[in-house]
Amino acid sequence: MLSRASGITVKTASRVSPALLARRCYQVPTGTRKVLPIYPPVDPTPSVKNATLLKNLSSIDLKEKLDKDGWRFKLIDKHNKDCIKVGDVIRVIYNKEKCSYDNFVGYILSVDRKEQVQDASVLLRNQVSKVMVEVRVPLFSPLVERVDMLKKADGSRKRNKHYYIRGTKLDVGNLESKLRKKK
Amino acid sequence: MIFLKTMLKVIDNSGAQMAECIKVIGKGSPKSPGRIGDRIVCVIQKSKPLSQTITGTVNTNRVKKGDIVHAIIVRTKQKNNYRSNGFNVNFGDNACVLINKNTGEPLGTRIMVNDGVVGRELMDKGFNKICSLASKVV
Repeated sequence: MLSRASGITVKTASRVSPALLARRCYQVPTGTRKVLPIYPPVDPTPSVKNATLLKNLSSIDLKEKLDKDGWRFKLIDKHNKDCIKVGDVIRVIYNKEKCSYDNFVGYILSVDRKEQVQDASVLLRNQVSKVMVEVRVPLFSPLVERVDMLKKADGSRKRNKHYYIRGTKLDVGNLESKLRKKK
Repeated sequence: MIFLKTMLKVIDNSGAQMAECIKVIGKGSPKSPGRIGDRIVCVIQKSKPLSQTITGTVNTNRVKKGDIVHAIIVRTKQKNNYRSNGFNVNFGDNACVLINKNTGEPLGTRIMVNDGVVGRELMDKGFNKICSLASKVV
C-alpha cells in the first residue's frame, strides 16, 4: 500500500492505517521483515590462577594474628549497629607492653575501610593544649589495645567524611576538657 | 614540609616567636623537605621585647629579631608522613625549638605549656631533652 502523505511515497505494512501515516511521525513503520543477527558467545576470559589468594591470606592473618576475638572487625562492620561512625568521639588506648604512648582522645573525621579488612584506619582530630592534632590510627595494629566510645555522633552532620569542619566554627575544641565539663 | 621561606612558630622561652627557615641542614630542596626532627637554620622574624625582668630565662640566651639561629623542627602540618608503626600524625601548625649552633642544646629552658605538643619522631631521633620539656608528645 503506497501512501501519498506529504508527497513521500513509502512502502509500508498493509495493516498501517492512513490516519497514522497522515500524522508527522518520524519513525516510519517498515514493511519488510527485520532480521536480527545473533552472535556466538564471547570467549570467557581465562581464569587467573590464585585469584583469591590474597583474600584468603588476609582472612587467615586476621583470624590468627590480628583480630582473634573479632572486636576490631565489629568496630568497622557496617552491619553492626554499634560500629564506630563519623562524628563519634573515641579514646584509643595503646598496649602498655608494646609501647608507652598516652591515650589519645579524638573526634572521628573519617573511617577508612579498604579492600583488605586489616588496612582499615580511622582519622581522629583533637585540640591538645591549643594545638590541633590529627592522628590516623590503623585499627588492626597490635599497638592498639582497646578503643572506647566516649560520645556517639548525633547524626546531624552530613557527609561520610567530616573534613569540612576543619577551620570552621564546627571544628573540634579541646575534647577532653569538654567531656570533663559534662560530668 | 619545611624549606626556604617557611614560617615556623617558636615554642620555647628563648624570646623568639616566629622564625623563617633559610636552610634545612642536610637537605633543602622541596623534593626532600625538612620534617620533624630535622635541624634548620632560621632567621627570627618576631620576638618578645627584651626587658629586664623575665623569669625562667638566661639573659645571654635571649634572641631578638634578625638573629640567625639553628632550630629543631618539632611540629609539621604535613599530612603524609607515616611512621614505621603505621600511624600518621599531623599538627595544625609548623613549630620549632631553637638550639645552640655548636652544642645542640636548646636555647630556651622551658617549652610553653599552652603550645607544647611535639612529635614522637623527636624521641626516635634522640632529642630527649626537648621531649622531656614538652607538655605532650604525640
